[in-house]
Amino acid sequence: MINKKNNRRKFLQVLTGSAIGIIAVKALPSGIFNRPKVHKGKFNIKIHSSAIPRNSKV
Amino acid sequence: MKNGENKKTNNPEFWKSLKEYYNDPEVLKAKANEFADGVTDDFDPSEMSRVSRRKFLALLSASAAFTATACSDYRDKGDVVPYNVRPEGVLPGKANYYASTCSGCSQSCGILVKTREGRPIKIDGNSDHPVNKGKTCAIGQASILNLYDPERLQQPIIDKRKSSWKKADTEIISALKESMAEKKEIALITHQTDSQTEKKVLDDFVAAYPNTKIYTYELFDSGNRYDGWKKAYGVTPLPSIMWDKANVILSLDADFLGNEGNYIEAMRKYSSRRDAVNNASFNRFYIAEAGLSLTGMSADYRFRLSPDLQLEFILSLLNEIVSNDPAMRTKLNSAAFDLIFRNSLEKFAEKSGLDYGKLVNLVIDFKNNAGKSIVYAGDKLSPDVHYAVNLFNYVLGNNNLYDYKSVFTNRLELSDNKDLKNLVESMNNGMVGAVIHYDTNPVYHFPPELDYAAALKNVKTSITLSELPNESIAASYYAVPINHYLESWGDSNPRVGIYSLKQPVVAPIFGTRQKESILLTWIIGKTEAYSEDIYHSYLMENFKDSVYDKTDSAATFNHFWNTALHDGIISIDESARPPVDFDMANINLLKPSTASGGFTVILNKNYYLGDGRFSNNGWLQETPHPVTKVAWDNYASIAPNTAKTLGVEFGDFVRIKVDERNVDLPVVVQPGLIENFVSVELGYGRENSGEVANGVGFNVNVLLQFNGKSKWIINNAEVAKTGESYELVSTQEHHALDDESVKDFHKIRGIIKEGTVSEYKKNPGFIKEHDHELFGITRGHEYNDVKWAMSIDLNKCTSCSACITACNVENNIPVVGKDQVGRGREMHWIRLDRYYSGTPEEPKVSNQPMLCQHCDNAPCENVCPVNATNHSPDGLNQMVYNRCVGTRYCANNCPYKVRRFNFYDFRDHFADAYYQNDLTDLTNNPEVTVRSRGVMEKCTFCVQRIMEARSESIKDGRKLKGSDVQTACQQVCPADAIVFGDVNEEGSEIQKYREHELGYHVLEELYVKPNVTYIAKLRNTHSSEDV
Repeated sequence: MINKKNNRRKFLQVLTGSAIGIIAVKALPSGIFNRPKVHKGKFNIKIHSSAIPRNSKV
Repeated sequence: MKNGENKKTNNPEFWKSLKEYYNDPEVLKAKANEFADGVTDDFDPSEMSRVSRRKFLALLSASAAFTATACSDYRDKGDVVPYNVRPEGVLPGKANYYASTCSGCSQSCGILVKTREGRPIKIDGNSDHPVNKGKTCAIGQASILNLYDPERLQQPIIDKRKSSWKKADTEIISALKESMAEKKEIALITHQTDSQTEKKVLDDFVAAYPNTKIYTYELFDSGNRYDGWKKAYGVTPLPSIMWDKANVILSLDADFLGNEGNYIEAMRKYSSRRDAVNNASFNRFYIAEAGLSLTGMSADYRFRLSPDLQLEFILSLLNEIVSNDPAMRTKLNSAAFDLIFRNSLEKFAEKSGLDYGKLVNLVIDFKNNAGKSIVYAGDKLSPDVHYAVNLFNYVLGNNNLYDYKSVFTNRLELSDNKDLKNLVESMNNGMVGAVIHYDTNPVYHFPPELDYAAALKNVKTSITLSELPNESIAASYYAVPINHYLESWGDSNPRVGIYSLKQPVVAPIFGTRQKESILLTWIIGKTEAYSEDIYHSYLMENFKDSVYDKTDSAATFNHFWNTALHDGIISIDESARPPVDFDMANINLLKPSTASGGFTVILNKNYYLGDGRFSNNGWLQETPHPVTKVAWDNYASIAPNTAKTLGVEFGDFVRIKVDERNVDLPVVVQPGLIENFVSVELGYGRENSGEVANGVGFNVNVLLQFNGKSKWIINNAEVAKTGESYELVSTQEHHALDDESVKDFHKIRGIIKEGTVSEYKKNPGFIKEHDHELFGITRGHEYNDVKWAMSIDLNKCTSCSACITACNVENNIPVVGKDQVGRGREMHWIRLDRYYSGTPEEPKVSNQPMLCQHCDNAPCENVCPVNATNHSPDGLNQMVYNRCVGTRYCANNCPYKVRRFNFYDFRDHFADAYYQNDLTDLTNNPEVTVRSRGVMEKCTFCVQRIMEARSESIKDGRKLKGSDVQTACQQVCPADAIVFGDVNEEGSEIQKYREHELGYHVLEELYVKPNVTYIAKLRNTHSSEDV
């Protein structure tokens, strides 16, 4: 291919630029991209075994 | 001649430019060439743009990849995983209900907690509970949000660093033992409690650490009431009041329908005597108050009276009554009569500016209803006023209305001011080894003269137990996280003979522990003593000794316990005996207050934040104040004339100065207040308390005082304008009452229709007298099956706003924040409109809940360009969120202005997406869509509940009945003002209300055919005042 070395250089430049861009956007204090990382994931939502619901027969 | 050439000149007849017109040689040359210059030049690739097609595509795909990566966790909803092993009793899609007890305030109402897939989503009243009977207040409803507050403390913090329970327990136990060895005091500061088991834990703590002293305080307490009662009747339990039996009520600065005592119970009982549809015999309600309270808005007669004059007022009334009644006079001893005789009602009227005629009517009412009336003084008034009120009720025989079957319990005596001062002195002198703030916040609550925060620095071991961060946590060495009440075991004994249990409806979400369990661990003195069940076992054992053994139950204890948990309530016949004699000896101690020279300031409890413990709750911050309709701030309410004198308007700052203490507050000009008077609410101005609470409002606790007869009523204050102003947001427009375009518009347009009881008795159809026939040009749709409708009784509604918060919880309504409320973008589906009539000095207040009227001829449905809003076969105006494109034409057309538009995705928008997190998402009702940006929403008559009832009826093979469905607002309303059902059902409640002669529709003349009927308010004034 013509300018094979040039193409690879351009590709690497684009890749590096994208990576820097992503990190920069993630660092922005913007609500959509940077929702507070508080409590992401599973919680300990467990029914207490000794609690008696209304629909149980006592 | 060339074609087109002008014959007279050489210029062309038609030309495209001036150059052409003037035959420019360049233009002529260009015309001769087919192509412009340069077109046929040779092609040179090196002169082209450097970006080749390949490069362009590479850049494009890289940008797309970068965008996709950046958006990678946007709207990530996670995975849905079915149960592998379904927990017993849990059916996905079906709610479970647990009986428990609310800890929002000290009233301990019985509640049923609705849970879905193991997580609590709604709190409602337990209809089996004899005190609140199935109702809760706004605080009870919104308290569920505190369970899912992302800023809850999750683990112990030692010296501002996260730590572990083992380390915290070890160090604290060691510190407590050290205090014992050094013979230093261990101060345990707590709120009052009605839990006998919690009291036992505290007693056991004192037994384990004998140097412990327990200090009990409340920011707003009933200490003055108890003192007045003790002076009158000795140390006997305080009974509740049978408001439903009172024909005449006089409240002295008592907000018994809004903020004091068990106002849920009071509202139910009071409103049962304002039920025009069921032909109740109306009571007559007088109030004498300085400010305009929620209770004052409902009164038939309002006297504007300074708190300093309340004692003289009650004595003057008593004098007027007994002077001409020998039978009543015999109840007084000579000292009492001499004191009372000095107070002339006529002179009092002249001194206070009250209408003597109305006072005479009040006296007549009391005389005609002796034994069936009640005078009730507010918690803030001095013990002397309470004693005088007790005397009044005793003389008139009104103690018939004291309910000795429902007597308040009191586990912990409030500490004296002297005790607290001694504590601080001991702390400063190094005599206190450890201080435990047992779910209390004294750094915020104590009066500034104690300088508690500074004293705390002199204590080696400072421990605060709390759910959320607060001022005391920030000032303490150890911060110990405790469970929310929905994660806790407990018991409650709010009235003698009534025991309710608290059970954890969810296991602790974080690594928190129950506060009683923490104390039990410290009592035992070993960190390994803790287990999740430690308090559970302790509670069961104490319950067995104190409750089970008192009953004659034939069941085993385990069965009894499980039944108690299931029902939520145990009632035992333990009514108190009424006291026999009134102690007149203390009458000599009564001293009328001296008049205030400067301003009088009253410090009030906020209706929704309490003492500040709910300031991090967005739903409660956003609920508009029932009187001023201001949200997200506190302020200084002052009378219109006083505002004029001070030269201030709405939002202007004033400085309130008491001795050396001062605070700047923005002003709300409030009709109906007395002159030279300021009403402020506490619970604001928080620090270190969470994203929602911090910086909201102003901290007025600086004005609290120990001196004087009441720590909340301050005399001789100076108030002056500062010249600055502040933006306060109110959900209602503020118009000058004398503005011609809006004066009484609610009466002219028939939005509020009112009358008097005597007018109604003479002419029951008076509301509809001026109605004219309405015509339509099309034949209306016929609803032959179920047709839903609602009725709201304006006689009963007190504007408590429980309906607003219940609707918020049920329908996933977002918090929008102060800025958006200021733009009128609050998202409440139901609002409480407040109208004034009369004069700014003596206004009459009318409240009206306003929600979507579900009009049969809905003006919103016709104008939607995408048919996102339409009508259901059962009469509901429906909203299809995913069709809506946000033109907002429907909101424009709605005459009631009940449609709410999502200008933002408010979960992302509010406080930097504070509520957009996996924890708070758990509070959402899964039956109700969570709306996004750009769609319109409004009240749906709880269509999710209608659909659930419909599925049940289909499953059961029966017809759906109107009474199968309760909307959230109807279910919560403590006054039972809302009725909902099927108008086509013969004999239904809603049919009765819809067809009642006092029923009317708002803006009926527009022929939109609304389906919400309002029952006109009747004021029970004397018939002599009828025009």
